[in-house]
Amino acid sequence: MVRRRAGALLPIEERILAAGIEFGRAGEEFHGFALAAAMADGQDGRGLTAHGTLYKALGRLADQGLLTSRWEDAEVAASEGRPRRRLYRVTGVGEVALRRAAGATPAHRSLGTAPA
Amino acid sequence: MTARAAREPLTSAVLAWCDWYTRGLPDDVASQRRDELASDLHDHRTDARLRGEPGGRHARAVTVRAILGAPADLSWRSYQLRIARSARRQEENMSATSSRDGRTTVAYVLGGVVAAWSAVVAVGLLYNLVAPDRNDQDRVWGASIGLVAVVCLGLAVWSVTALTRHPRAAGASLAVASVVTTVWMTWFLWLAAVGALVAAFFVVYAVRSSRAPREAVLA
Repeated sequence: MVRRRAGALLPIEERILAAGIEFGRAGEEFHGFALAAAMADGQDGRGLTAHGTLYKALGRLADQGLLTSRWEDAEVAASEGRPRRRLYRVTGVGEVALRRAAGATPAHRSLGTAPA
Repeated sequence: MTARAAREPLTSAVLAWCDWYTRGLPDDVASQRRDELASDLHDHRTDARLRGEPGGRHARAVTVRAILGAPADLSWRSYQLRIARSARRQEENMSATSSRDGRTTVAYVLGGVVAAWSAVVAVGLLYNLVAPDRNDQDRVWGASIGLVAVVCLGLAVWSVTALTRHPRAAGASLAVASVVTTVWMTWFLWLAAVGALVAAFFVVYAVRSSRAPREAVLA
């Protein structure tokens, strides 16, 4: 795993939390692909975040308590004819961490356009 | 070949890569990563279809996502292996500690028995000094072995109190005490045999206890 200062967020983690908070404002949980699509939308034609990068970062944020996750009910997924999704939500701690990180972020690196 | 037919092998290839880098990981960790990736691939395919994206473009996007994510997959694997190894070591240590605790309990009980037996032998033999019906030879023999038994009693009492602090010395002392207070009882061979068994236990206890700190450090 990446070694860094305690409490510091990587750019991709900031983007995940920022996008996740938007989902939360809409009253929604989010899953991996929806998150990748939402992050790609704000990035001037950049592609979707790579699988490994995305799920590693999600796991790291969940381990730190910045996200919570749960597996979708298998019956719901089956009724829609797709694999079940892992659904995430940004926690209060995650929101605070993002605010803190945004406060420490240089002005030229806004949350929506930070590089991966 | 239709666009859809071209996409299915790609999904299989990405999942095969996932199976490769999750091999040897705990089942729940591996299956969760696989399920999450399978869901992503499905949602990506469905999204491309709904947006009328050409099959080739979608295939390229999935390939790029898989390839660019490979270093992160491998580093995630390495992290998960470290966690699994650490959990396994912790489990082994707990099991070793529990076995050590059991050994220590037995050592306390047997140490108490050796101390009590030493006291019985000391009192019994020293009685020869004051008993009116003993001859001089009995008195000398009783006094000398009795004094040795008193020393053994002292050793045993010290050892029981020092079992956890100085397990090696205490184990060795109790082994000596149990042999010395029983080995001369040639008319009670079974007692001498019990003494030898108890001594063997304390020798093993002393040896294993002296290894324990090194094992703990290595873990």
